[in-house]
Amino acid sequence: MSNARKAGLLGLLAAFLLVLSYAVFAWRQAVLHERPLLPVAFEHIDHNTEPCAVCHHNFVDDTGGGACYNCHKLTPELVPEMERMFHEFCRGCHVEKRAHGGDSGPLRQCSLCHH
Amino acid sequence: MEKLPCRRRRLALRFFAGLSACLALPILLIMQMPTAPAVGVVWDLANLLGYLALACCLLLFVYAGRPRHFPPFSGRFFANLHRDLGYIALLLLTAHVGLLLVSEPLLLEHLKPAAPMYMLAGLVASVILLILVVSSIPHWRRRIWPDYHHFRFLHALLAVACVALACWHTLESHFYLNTGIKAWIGALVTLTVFAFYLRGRYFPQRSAQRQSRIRDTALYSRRIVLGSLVMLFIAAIIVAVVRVPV
Repeated sequence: MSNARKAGLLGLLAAFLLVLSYAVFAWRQAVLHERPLLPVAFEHIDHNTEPCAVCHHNFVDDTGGGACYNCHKLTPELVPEMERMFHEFCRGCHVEKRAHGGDSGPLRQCSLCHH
Repeated sequence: MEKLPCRRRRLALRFFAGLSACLALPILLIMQMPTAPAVGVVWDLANLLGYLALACCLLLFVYAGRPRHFPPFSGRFFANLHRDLGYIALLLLTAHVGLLLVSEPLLLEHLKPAAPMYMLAGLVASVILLILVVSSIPHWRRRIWPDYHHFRFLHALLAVACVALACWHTLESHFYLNTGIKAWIGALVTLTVFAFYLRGRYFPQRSAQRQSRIRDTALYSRRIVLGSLVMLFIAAIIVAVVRVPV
């Protein structure tokens, strides 16, 4: 295959992928706002060794009021990062505790939190 | 079955040892401290198989179908080795996805459009690997790309995209590559393999003369790859079982 044809093919492919990526990204953003959250089994009593402000940061930094949902799901800017943020926050703490040999909540198994 | 001549058998065994060592690298890397806490036998096994699938994909760039200096076997051996490693990568990937979905059906949520980007990257990488394998079967390849050069060009392009997406998936999931140093080692290995491939493609080394290559070695590739796979599969099961605290 000549270099010109190679470059043409590559350009065509790149343009197609760019358009496709943009379409998928736009669709994903729309879906992110609309999809319902999976139910989470969270018990305060299991977390009473942690300071309240670790989770309820809005008590100390005045970033909002009410339950997590009020800000994280209803603020458009926070929605795209919500899943990553919550997973890293909960799982990060569990993984750290387990890595140090302590007892912790679920590490990765979805069904142990979302049931 | 034909008995292997001594030299040929020795070379095949040395190559088998080297290949297994390369494939075992992810497991060795994973086992280095600080290790991620164990989740469960099935979960850990599935993820180890995923790492092995990625290692196979990386090896496909090293053994890209062209004859190499070592082992000095005929060209057909390397073509078959590339094909067999591709099949094995797809098999390991299927086991990775299948085991995780069976043990955690809720993971299906991570295959939907609203899933995190690194999971979607893994999904797209899987689809690309499937396309790469199916479109390389000679019957389909001749139908889709009558011109072999078109096939080779797009095959290489898709393979790079597949590995790049798989690396993103692996690094972002923070499962075993959970520290900066491990992530850097993983990235360095991937970049080295890409550089190795590009060097072989654009600055080919003078390979051994065709006459001096050992012939009738096409069948060895399957034995070597299957042998490595069985050994590593057993190693992955042992590692997954040992990691889980009693």
